[in-house]
Amino acid sequence: MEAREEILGRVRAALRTARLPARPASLPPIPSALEAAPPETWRARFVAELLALGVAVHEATTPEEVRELVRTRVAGRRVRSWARAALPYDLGATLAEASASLLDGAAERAALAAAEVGVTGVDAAIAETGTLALIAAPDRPRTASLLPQTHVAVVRSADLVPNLRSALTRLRGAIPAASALQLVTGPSRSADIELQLTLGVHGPGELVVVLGP
Amino acid sequence: MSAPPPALPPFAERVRAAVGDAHLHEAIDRATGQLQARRGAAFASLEAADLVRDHARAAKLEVLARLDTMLEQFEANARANGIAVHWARDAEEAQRLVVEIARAAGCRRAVKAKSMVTEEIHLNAALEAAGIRVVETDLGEYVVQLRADRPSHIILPIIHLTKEDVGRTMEEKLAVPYTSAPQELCALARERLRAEFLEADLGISGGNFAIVESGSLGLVSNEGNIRMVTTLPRVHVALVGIEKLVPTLVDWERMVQVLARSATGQKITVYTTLVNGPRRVPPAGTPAGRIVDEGPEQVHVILLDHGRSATLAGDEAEILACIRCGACLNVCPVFRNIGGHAYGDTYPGPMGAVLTPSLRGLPGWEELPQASSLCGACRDVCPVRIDLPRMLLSLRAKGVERGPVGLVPRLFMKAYAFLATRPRLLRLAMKLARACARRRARDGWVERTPGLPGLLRGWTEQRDFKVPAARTFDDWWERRRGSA
Repeated sequence: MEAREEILGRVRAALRTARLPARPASLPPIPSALEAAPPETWRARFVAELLALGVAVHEATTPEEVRELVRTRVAGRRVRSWARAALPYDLGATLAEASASLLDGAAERAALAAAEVGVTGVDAAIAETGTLALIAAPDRPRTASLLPQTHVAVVRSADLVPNLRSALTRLRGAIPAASALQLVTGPSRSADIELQLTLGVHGPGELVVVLGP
Repeated sequence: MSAPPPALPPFAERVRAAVGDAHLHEAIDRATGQLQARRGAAFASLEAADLVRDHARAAKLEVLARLDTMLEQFEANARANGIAVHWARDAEEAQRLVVEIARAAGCRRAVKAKSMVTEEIHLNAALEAAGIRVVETDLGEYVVQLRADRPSHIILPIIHLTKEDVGRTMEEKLAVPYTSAPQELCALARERLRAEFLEADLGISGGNFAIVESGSLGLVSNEGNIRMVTTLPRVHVALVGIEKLVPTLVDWERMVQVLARSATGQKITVYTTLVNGPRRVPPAGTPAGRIVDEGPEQVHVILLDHGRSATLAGDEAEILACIRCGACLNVCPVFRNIGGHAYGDTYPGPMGAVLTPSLRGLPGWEELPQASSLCGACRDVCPVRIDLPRMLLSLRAKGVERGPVGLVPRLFMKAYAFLATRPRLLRLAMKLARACARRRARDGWVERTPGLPGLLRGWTEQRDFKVPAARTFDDWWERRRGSA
C-alpha cells in the first residue's frame, strides 16, 4: 500500500496548486435527431452504415428466411457459436444440422482456432454507426465473433437502437454483470501501412449481418 | 525523473537529420494530409459536434479536479469487479509489478496490444530481461519490433515507413518472399501472430479509459488484436496512467464519439471494448460443458504515476486531459516536417512537446517546447480543446528562467529593450533596417544568398525574409492625420 498512499498523497498536494482551466457550470444535453426520429428509420440507417463499412447485409422477413440465410453460410463448415439458448430464431437446430461441426460451449483452444464461421446474436444493434453490441457471458462466448474468418451476426428488429447512448441505457442491467461488453463495427481492419485499408488483420475479415423481422 | 538516454543526439541534430530525409517527408505528408481530411469529414457527421467536445472536455477536467477521490473510487469499483489494482510510482516499479504478476502466475509468453504507456516505461526490455517472451501484435508495432525501431506516431506507429520498407523488413526478419502489397503483408502478420495469440499466457494492454463509476477499462482497436490480448491469455495486465479516468459510462460514450473521429476519421473504431473483469465463474452445479465465459482468469490494472502527479501540480496540468488521439500531430507544421523520432521520446508532436518535459522534467527537454510555430492548429483540432500553445509558452518561459540564456540572445534582448523604450531611436533604427533589407532583396524577399547581415543571418539560412513595406504604418498614419 506504500506506493498507493504516496501517489494519492502527491495527487492531493498537487491539487492544492494545480492551475486547471475552469469547468463550465453546466452544459446543455447533447441532442440526437435519430433518437427523435421514428424507429422505422433506424433500420434503413443501420443497413446504410453496414454497407458503407463493407458488411454483407441480408434482410429477411420471416424466421424461416433467417434460418435459410444462415444455413447457406454455415453449410459444411466448422462453426463456433453462441449457446443454443442465446441464439435468436431458434438457430441452434439449424447450426447443428447444417454445419460440419459445431462448438457452442466450452471447447479446446485448437478446435476453436480451426473454426471457419462464427455465429452470434446481438444484445443491441446501433443504427447510427452500424455497430453490434455483444455482451460476454457464459452462453455468449467471445471467440465466436473473434477467431473465425467469417462472423455471421443475426439481428432482430427489436435489437435496433438509434445510438450508443441508447444501447447503454438498454443494456444497463446486463453490462455490470458481464465480464466484458464488445462493440463491433465492421470487419477487422488496419491502415498501418501507408494508410491503405486492409481487412481481416486479426479479427474476422468478413462480417455478415442477417437482419430478421 | 529520468534524463534523456545518453545515446540521443542533440535536438538540433535530430531535426537536421529529419528535415533532410526526403523519404520521411513523402511518407508523412501522404499520411497526415489524408488523416486531416478524414478527421474533418468524421466530425461533420457528428451531430452537435462542438457540444460533444465540450462535454468530453468537462469530463476530463472533472476527473483531474478530483483526481484523488476518483482514483480511490475507481480502485474500489474495479476490485468489486474482481480486478486486482496495483500502484506504480515510476517506470521501474511498474516494470517490477508486471514481472511479479507474470512470475506468480507462471507466465512465460506475452502478447501485447499497442500501448504508449508501455513504450514510456520501456516494458518490453524489462520483460525480456526477466525471461518473458513478448510479442507486439498491432500490425504497426509488430513491424517496429521486427526492425528494433521506435514508433513515430501515437496512432500510426510506422507512419515513417513505406509499404516497400515494410515488405523488406518482413522478407528479412520472417524469411518470406518479398511483397509490398499491404493486404499480403497483413495476411503474413495475421498468420504469424495468430500462433502467438493461441500460445500466450499473458496479455498486456494499456487503457484508453478507466471508468470510475463501473470500475471497468475502455479499450479501442481496429485490428482486433486488443480483443485477442484481453480474451485468450489466462492473465491480462493493463497499464493505465492515473490521468486516464473518466467519471461515468455516459462520459465514456462521449469519449468514444470523439476519439476515433480525431484519430483515424472513423465514427467509431471497429472494436470498442469494455473490460469489466476476469471471466465470470458460473454458479456451483453448472454442467462443465456450459462454462464458456471466455476471458482471462486474472485481470490486473497497474495505475502509473511516473511524473503525472508532478505535472498536475504545475501550469501544464491541462495536458493530463489528453486522450492520445494524435490529431495535433497530423496538423502540426513542425511534426509534418520532422516526424516523430526527432522529438526523442515516446510522445511526439505538440502534445509530446508539452507532455515529455512535464513527465520527465524540463532539464534535457527544454528545446521541445521551442519546436512549434504557435500557429494554434493543435488547439483547434484537439477533441478536448487542450490549450497546447499556452503550455508551450509556459514551458518556454520556464526554460528561460532556468537559464543560462546564451550571450547573443541576451545582448539582443537588451538592445531591443533599449530601442523599444526610445521611440525616436526605434524609428530611426527601423528605417535603417528597412533600407538595408531592401538592398538585399529580390522580388520582395531576402533569400539565403545574400541573406541578412551579421547575427541575423541565421534567419535566412532556413527561410526567406519578407522585405518590410516601403512605408511604415506610423508614416501612413501621420500623413493621413495631416491630410484630414
